[in-house]
Amino acid sequence: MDELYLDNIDEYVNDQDKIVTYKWLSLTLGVHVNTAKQMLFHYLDHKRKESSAQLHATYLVSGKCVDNGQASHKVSVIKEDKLEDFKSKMSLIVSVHVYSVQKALLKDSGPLYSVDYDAVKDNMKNCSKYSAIRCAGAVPVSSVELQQTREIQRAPSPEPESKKSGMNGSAHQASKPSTKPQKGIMGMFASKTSSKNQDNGKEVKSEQKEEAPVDEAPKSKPAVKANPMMNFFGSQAAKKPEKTVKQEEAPPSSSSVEQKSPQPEEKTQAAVVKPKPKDTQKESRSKTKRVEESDSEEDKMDKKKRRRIKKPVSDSSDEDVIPDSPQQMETREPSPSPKKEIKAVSHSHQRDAEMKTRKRRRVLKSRTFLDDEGCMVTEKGYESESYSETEDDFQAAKPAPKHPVPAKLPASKPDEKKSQKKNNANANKGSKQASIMGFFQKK
Amino acid sequence: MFSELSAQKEGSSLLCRPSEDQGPVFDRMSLAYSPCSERYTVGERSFSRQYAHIYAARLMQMRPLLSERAKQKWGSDVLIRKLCDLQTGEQCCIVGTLFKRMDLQPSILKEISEEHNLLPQPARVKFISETDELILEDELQRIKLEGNIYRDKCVTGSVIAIYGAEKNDGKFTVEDFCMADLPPQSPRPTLSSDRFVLLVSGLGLGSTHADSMLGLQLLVDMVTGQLGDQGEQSGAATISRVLLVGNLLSQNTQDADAATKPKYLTKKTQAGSVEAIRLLDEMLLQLVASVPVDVMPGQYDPTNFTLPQQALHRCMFPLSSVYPTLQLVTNPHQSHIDGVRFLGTSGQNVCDIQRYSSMDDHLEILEDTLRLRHLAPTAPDTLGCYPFYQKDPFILEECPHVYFSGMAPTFQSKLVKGPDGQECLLVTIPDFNSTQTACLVNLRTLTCEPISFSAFSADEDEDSEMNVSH
Amino acid sequence: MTTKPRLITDSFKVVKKAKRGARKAKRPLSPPPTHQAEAGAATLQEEELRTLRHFDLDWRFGPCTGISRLHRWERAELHGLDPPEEIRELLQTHTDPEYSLSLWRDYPL
Repeated sequence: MDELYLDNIDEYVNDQDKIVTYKWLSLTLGVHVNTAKQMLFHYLDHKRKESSAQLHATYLVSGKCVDNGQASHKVSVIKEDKLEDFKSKMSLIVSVHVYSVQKALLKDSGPLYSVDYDAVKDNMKNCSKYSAIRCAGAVPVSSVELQQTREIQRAPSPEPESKKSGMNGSAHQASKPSTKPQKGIMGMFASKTSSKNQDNGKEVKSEQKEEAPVDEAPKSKPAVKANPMMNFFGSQAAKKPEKTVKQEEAPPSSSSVEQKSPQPEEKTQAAVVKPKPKDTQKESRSKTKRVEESDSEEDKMDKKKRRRIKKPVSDSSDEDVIPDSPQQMETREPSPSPKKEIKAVSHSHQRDAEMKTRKRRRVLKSRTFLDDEGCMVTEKGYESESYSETEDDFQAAKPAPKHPVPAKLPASKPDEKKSQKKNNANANKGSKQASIMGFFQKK
Repeated sequence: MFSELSAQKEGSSLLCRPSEDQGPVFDRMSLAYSPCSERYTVGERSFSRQYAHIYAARLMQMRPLLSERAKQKWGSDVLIRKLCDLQTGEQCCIVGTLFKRMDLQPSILKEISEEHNLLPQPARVKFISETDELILEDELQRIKLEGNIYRDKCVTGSVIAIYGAEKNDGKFTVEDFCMADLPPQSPRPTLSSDRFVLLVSGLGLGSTHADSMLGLQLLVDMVTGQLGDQGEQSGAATISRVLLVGNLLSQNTQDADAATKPKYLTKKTQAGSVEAIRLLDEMLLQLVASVPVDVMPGQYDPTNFTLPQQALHRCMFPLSSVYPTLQLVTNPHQSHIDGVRFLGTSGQNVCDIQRYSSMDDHLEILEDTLRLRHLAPTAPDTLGCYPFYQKDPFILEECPHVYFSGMAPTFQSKLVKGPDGQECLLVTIPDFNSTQTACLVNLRTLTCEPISFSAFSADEDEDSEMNVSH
Repeated sequence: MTTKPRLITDSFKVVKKAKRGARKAKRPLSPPPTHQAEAGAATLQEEELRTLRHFDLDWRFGPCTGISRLHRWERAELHGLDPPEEIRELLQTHTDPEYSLSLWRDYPL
């Protein structure tokens, strides 16, 4: 074997002042772990003979150890000077090898962990490639396969007693919508892991960023977990105005959306856009994301046009301020019961709609159910409802949109009366009560 | 012993120059595995019921078993009475649920009642006192117990049979009592070779002191065949499964303030558990790439609090969940590994009994629950529990071969034998974060041994004695 | 800026309204059947309901609140307590809440 590796290790240890553990070396040079251990030993031996620089080493010792009458297998990392002493205390020694070599004397073993951690982090996919054990079953599978195997495993299991009566129906209904979202999200993760994206320390963030392309969302925001709503709106502020303008400019036939809900982006949502089932999982995780997804298709088409247009006169500033609190409330609403969030959608041009009383609007309803694994899934989807403008408290209560353009409903439904009532209640319940409650409530 | 098994292989020493040949590669021993925890998955979640149902169902299920035991113990002609038919002075046997009235038992009603004007109570480890009273109830009535029954060892919710007579003062004098004892057991297959299952509890990721992380990494490296000589690695290849028994995250990840602080103050802070789960995912990835892993949630993990705790959701583990070797399971968890039946919990049941009885030894408590034939008798009284109504899923219907509980202070194990020749290995799995100890169960011999990991730290310079499990 | 306070006061008004509405909506669900039943007294239905109430109050089958009569019957069956077969037949042929739910159905948890 050529002994170039001695120079390599020397460079790592002396020039770069690294702590070289066997595992780090194995992953860095791409050699079997046992070879790496031997290399380290060889290097140490070699250097000691030269007796040039001062080198410190740690060893791994494992074996049987009897402690208070209880025999146990013990695996320890110890400093070189304690090695013989330690070995003499073991009643049976199974393995001894060099664990790490470094220039400095280690005070504690913390740095050893950090080194290994970084090494593994850089090689997430191949972390056991050079180990001495292969596991035939441990092959990453696609989300679909995973789903299948899980289903097979679950299939023979008898239904729990409590499910038998009454629950079965709903559970089955629920299973359909829920499998899809899982595939979606799993697929996303799968594609993520296979794509060679394993940056250290930024795992979580990068992952969130990647979600966006999968959903064809034009912009991505890593806002999911920690970033507060304010950030979100802040970053949005620039884009928002453009969209509104575009709608005004759009030919009358195209659908334009009046914004009642304070989320700026939802403006672009036409009645046609239904959230794709695969998105629902993420929706439950983050509202902000859902919003981006749904406006994507439309946006793309009109992007060019929008670019040219200047900021609208009245729009932006106000909306930037208002959305904050109601938005929060909605996201926080804890109740699993179907909740509604009002978003008006007009099917016709905004201007001629003013005097009409009947409108269509789209409501965001969330459904909570148990998927086939017994996990709670909350799906949010838009449903359009017709309602009448006479419901004044709704109108008054909404955060005064700048284009107060109640659109007219081209085809009013026969079941209007019913839905009017319903809507009234919904409006109250969904947009006001839930939100104000949510504001004080902590999830 | 795992050590002997690993040592007997004559491998070339690693304290030499690298040789030309490639390092060895062993195949992970794979075993037939079937999870059977369906009884612990809660499908419908309705909380509109009272807990009376679970006690009723428990008594319904246990009564026939205990009546039979009573006949075995006190003769087939023993008089088994309901409390409502009880005659003063008549020797008879009663089957019922124990209730221990405890003055020290924390009660929300006590706390909010202003008349009491209680001083803040000192934090307690135990809630038993001299004034506790033992009461037996059946469907309709209850009666105070005295006599030959050790009050402090009993806990609320246990279904037992007592033998004795009611005295004039209206109390029942117990002469003897019996528990349902070990349930029937299916035979254990005879295995040709040693194979192991590794049980680890309390990884405690996200804890403030990070020194324990190297220990955890050593554990992972040992199992995945990275460290050690060839012999060690071939030994590690016989570890056919790893069970992570609860408390994967540290208690520190649960920010007590977060629940009470207004949301606008906590908007920008990230929950401690987020980072810890990411660490866990990375650690799991290393494990599942090499060995099948079952992950049970525990007290501090991000799932529901009440027993049975449902499996952690896959979406929390984007890296490791693409491996079919990762199984996210419930707590309690039950499975067949190569024909050996495993059953256990992450330790909440045992810790709760410890608080409400005089028993301190986790192994003793564990054995007690097995003899009571009930995983968690104190649920729903002092231990959170889903309001079941049809069946009490915590009643043991079949005796496991390995019965474990997590979060114990130390490693202990013991083989108990049942009246019908059942053999069950009890294992209390120590908290890994504080003891750096896990346990290896040998499926062939049905024995268990601890395996501990240690690294040097700054303060043990003079003392070459290595700090092992305390 | 001025929009904010208005928003909140509005919300409060609406909260009350919604609650009242919701309660009203719930109430009518349960009482009417009892009235009906009382009106058509001495009928077969009355007889059946009495049998069911007897079943509810049979302590051997455990508590009856919070679960449906059929669930309770099934539980008794499961634990070998031999609940009367006629009860199940009754419960399977009638589905309205007066039959399917226990006597205490108007008093939830």
